[in-house]
Amino acid sequence: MHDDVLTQLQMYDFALQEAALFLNSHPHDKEALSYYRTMQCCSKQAREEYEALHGPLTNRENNSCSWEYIHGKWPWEGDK
Amino acid sequence: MWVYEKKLQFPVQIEHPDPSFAKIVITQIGGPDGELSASMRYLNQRYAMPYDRVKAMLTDIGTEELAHLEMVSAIVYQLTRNLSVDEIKKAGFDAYYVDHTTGIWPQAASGAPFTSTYFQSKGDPITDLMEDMAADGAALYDQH
Repeated sequence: MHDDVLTQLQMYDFALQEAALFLNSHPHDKEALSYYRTMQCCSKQAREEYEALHGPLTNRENNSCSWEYIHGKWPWEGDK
Repeated sequence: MWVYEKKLQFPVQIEHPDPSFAKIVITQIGGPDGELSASMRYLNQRYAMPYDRVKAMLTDIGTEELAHLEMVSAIVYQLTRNLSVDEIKKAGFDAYYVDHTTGIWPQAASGAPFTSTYFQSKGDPITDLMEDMAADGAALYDQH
């Protein structure tokens, strides 16, 4: 099963990560910082959408009354 | 400290197991220019780095290499799922299988175990950066 929500999140997080690396060596680049902020916003939204469907992405974001972190697919397993 | 995110950096979806290919790809886990070596290189070298920009860079790249390690490990894991004894023998995967079954163990394609001799950490930023270029730049670009 192709997971569009996950693909979106992976895309935004990749862009966010690369922007962060660029900013490490170019901390005063306003254009890069603006791009970073846009990706930050997109990533946050995609993350919330993904977590609503599949549960917490980290052991710090288990916000329900039960422990959901252990459930669902683990990343290395693929779709099978 | 680090916090684990329960997703891969890029999707890994192997449709058909291929233990012959797994024998080669495993070098990108535990070989001399593999992801484990890359991660340990940057994360250990950062302590000698005096500049904030580069401290940040070494920390973030060393961390990202761990995400690469996870992707390559997922590739090897999926390449070696549900194998028959015949498939293991035919692919020459039996030499690995006898020691690790299909467990992920960091080694080079030759079978040499991962070792910290694959990277350097000299306490001198210029020396370390030269080593980074040799390891993560030239070596991989030449091979691909």
